[in-house]
Amino acid sequence: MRLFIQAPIGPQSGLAEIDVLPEHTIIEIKERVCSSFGVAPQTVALMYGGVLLDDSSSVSAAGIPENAQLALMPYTIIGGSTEDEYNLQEQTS
Amino acid sequence: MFYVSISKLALDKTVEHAKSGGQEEVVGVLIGRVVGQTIVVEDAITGRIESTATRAILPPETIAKIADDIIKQRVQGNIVGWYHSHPGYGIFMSNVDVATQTKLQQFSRYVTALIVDPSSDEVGFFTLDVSGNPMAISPRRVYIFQEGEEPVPPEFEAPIEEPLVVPAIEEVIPQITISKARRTTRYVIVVLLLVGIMLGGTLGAMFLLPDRTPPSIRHTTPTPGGWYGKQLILNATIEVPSKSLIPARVAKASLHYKLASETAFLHRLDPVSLSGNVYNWTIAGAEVKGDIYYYFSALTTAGVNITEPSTPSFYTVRVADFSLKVTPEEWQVFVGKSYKFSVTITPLNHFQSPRVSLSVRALSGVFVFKWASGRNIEELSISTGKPADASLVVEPEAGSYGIHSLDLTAESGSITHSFKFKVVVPSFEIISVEPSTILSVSRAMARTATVIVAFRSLWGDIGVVTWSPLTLKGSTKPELPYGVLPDRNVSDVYLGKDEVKYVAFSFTVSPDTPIGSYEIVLSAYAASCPICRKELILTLQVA
Repeated sequence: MRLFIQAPIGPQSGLAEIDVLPEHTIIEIKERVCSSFGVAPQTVALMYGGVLLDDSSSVSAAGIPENAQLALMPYTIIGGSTEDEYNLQEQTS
Repeated sequence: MFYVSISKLALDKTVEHAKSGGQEEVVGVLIGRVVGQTIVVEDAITGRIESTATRAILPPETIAKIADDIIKQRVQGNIVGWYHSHPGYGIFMSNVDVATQTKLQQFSRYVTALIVDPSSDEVGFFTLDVSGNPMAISPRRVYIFQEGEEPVPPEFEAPIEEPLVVPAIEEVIPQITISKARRTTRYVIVVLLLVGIMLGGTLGAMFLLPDRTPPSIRHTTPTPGGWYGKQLILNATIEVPSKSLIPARVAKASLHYKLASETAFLHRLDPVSLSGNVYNWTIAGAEVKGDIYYYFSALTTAGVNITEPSTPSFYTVRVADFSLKVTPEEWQVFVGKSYKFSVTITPLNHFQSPRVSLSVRALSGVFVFKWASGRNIEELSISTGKPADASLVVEPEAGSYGIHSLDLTAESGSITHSFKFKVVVPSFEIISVEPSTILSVSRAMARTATVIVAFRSLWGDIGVVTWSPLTLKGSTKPELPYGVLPDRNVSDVYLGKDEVKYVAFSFTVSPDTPIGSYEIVLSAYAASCPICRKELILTLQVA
């Protein structure tokens, strides 16, 4: 089945097309699209219909239909106002 | 580097949001578009956030909603930045902010961080330079536009030329300090010389002025292609064009590079050799696994430093490679059945090859492999940018029960990748027969005997286990002794992975069943794997 991945950050939306099987997991798809977008998989998440997709879930279990448009987004956006001890785990978890 | 133009409404919205947060930090994203070299911020949006006095988080759930609004065009534009407040802390990029900005700049360089301190009404835009260090966008490069006004002023069409930062300068601070001292000396000398000129002597200038002509660096990039795993030699010609009689020389020449996986130019190398004006550097083969980005820097004895190309530009060596994947990575296949795995080769960095050879071997168990093409070794032709797929049919041979690792190797020229995947070949066993395989019945009194058989799945999900009709040992027909009635109170059982199921079988004899000992064959098999058959011989003693 075919899915579209969009990363609406910066000048372009960078729409990518990807062929997957219903049993493919979200993390497998993420790893594939991250290499074409040039981003680190551990810092980003796939999202669909306003919902964060669980990395271990399969395409079919996540209820993603054919031709669905997924978003590749940063997992979190965090601002800090002091130079306190910064836990990298928080950014990448 | 870019200009920023923000609508008055969007800016007011962020400041108001920051004020509403009071002592707590707030965070949100900037929505807009990029026009030429200008980030045009048209709106600022947020959602449910997690806040403390020194930390504000836009959680994945809120980001997912914003993404959906953009995709469904309920929000017009893209994410071109983010904003957050520093209530009472002033305007700067903290280490957390740098990490977030790095994460966003992976997608595009046209992303800005807006920081608001609501206590002082200070606002500032930031980005990261090529070395990943925070950098404030000069107020000269920021414009606030009113509704209905053209967002990009004409002066923002001017190319942004000045380098962001020259990382090499930091490394050579001692030399620079020295050169500053020299410069002071120079001024003194200049004053003296002016007197000298007035006196009619200009010749001395040539001897005494340190030559501050910048060096020139010339470099030709290596051809893109098969650099994978090979030592990469880069060379550059560095000259200090000099008219002075005391010419400046090259004091330090460096190669700065970053690997495809890195976000900043972390590596600096000194040249390994020098012939004439040609400096040579080598990057170890172990690092050459993906595109490498690099630039050169040179410092003269007069303290003049330049980079080539000038920051933020850099050169790129494209290193061709491919990735290999088998899907699914683990699958259950019954003996007597087969399963088709999909093998995908994804070219990276302009990799192309008329022939990538795929071969597979089992690290345990015995399997029959068939490529969809019918060949023993599959060959794929890869053109730039397009993944190619092959289908591999895997069939376990009888007796190959268990969990097996298979190793798929893809080879093209000097590049070899392998990928391990698993095949689970399930089976089942009879683990107990209670009370015994010998059943005694009496025609007169206890006319029924019951046996409970326990089955356990092995390695995987064997599925439905069912029974053949009971037969007398040695007979080919489903047949029991005269007057014996079987009664099985459980029908088929489903044996999932690691499951144990108990099944009771009963036999009732009639008063006229001949006295004797009968051997009855109980044969169980998996519906999905008829070859996975287990037999149990029960002895029925009729007295």
